Amino acid sequence: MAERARLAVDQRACVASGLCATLAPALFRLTGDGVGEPRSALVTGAAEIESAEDVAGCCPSGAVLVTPVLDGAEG
Amino acid sequence: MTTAAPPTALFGYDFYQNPFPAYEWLRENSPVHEFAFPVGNIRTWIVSRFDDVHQLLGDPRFSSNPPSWASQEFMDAKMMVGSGTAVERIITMLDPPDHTRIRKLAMSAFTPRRVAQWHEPTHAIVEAALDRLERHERPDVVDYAGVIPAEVMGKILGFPLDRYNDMLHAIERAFHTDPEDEDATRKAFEEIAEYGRVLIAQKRQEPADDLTTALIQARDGDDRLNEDELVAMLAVLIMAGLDTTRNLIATTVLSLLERRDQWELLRTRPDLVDSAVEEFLRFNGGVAVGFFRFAKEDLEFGGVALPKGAPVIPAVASANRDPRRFADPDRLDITRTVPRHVGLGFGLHNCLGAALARLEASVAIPAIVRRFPKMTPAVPVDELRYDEMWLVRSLTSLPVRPHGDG
Ligand code: HEM
Ligand code: SF4
Repeated sequence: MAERARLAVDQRACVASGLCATLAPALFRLTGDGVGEPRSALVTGAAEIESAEDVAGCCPSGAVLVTPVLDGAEG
Repeated sequence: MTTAAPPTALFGYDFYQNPFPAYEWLRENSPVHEFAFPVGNIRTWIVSRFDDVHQLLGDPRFSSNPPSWASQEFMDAKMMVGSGTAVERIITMLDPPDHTRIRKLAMSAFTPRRVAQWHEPTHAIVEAALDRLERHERPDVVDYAGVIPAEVMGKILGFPLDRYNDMLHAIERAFHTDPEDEDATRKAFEEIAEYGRVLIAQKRQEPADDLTTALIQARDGDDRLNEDELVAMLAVLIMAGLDTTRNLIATTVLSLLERRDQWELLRTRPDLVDSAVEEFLRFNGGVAVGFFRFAKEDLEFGGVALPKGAPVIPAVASANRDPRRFADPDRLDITRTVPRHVGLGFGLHNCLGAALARLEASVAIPAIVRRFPKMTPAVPVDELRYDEMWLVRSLTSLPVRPHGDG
């Protein structure tokens, strides 16, 4: 299991449900327009990655993208 | 404590007919308002301003789960939705991590590919419903509005909802503020759950390319929905998917009949459909209030002290008419593009079926306007009535003349 993952929100797909910032406020915030935004482009450690994946799975628009960074690949 | 009261008793007959003056009073005079909820006569608070509703729906100090957090008074009054039935574990009343687990599994069945598959059947169902409306002896927009989510849900879940009317009646009994007797509500929920059980058994035997089968097969690693969770999921989809959509379509058609300029604008400008649907969700919503939230500790909310366990109602329909948020909020304007509404909720429990709700509204409402450009109500609109249902604003009937008076 990768220890790091890239975190992104597809802001065009996002429907501003606010779920991400409610479920994982440490990882996401909302823009002034209510659109989801990662606090950091990189999440580290199993717990953070799991939390990001929970959000990705619950997001109503599939806008949250979590991509594992394989060891050795540039971060 | 203030002795002043809203112009109509909250969740009483007159309130249901037109809740907006009461909402306005609440927003102005008592934005976090304590009152006795008519069912069970329990101490309840209602939140009515946009910012407060928004805050409440995303506030981790509140729970949606009655058994863990609701006041004893609330539980004793058997106020919990679906108490004693499979419905008591529906997703709307779960907190994380249970909520997260169930929502991930359910959401994985609502793939973009699947939602895209629903477009064509929705159009076909709407066209057939319009044909029937035209031929009907007593054409009624509420019937039209009800048939669409029923047939679309039936198609999506892979089941002809031939017991649709029973089901709608069960939902009506379940959320009525004046239940016939103590057992009636529980029986209604059991009926809804039983409906789900039959459907699951059928799909286990004959898997198909439909949402029910996708939910049965949904996996998250080794995790999957068990039998009771599947029943609860189907029950909540049926409950959340039918009446909400029916009322959004019906009340919106009424609003448009009363505002001919907006009717014409929608008819002649198909490019406005996206902003129009958002405006319909804001203006009429379909949902009146969200589910109860419960204070997990003694806390202060909007300047009001709430005791631990306090049941709080998010009045989304009021939030969506708050002039602090929306310019000229009581005007329906389908060209309005900002700001965002809470008609589909906000935060953890935001509408799981939002894509479907938007799809149905974006097809069914413009289609009736285009097919019957001269439609008029067949009765004086002030004779129309709303049911006493607290979750949705439910028009009882809307008789029309499809081709107008001429
Ligand atoms: C016009 C139609 C609809 C409206 C206005 C609407 C509105 C809402 C609102 C306001 C909530 C949040 C409730 C709360 O926080 O207390 C919600 C949640 C929900 N809705 Fe909808 N809805 C509609 C259609 C649908 C449809 C078609 C489905 C299913 C296919 C659906 C399934 C759900 C579910 C499962 C939840 C709970 C989500 C959770 O707890 O995570 N809704 N809806
Ligand atoms: S959960 Fe998804 S849809 Fe909701 S705000 Fe976050 S990114 Fe947008």
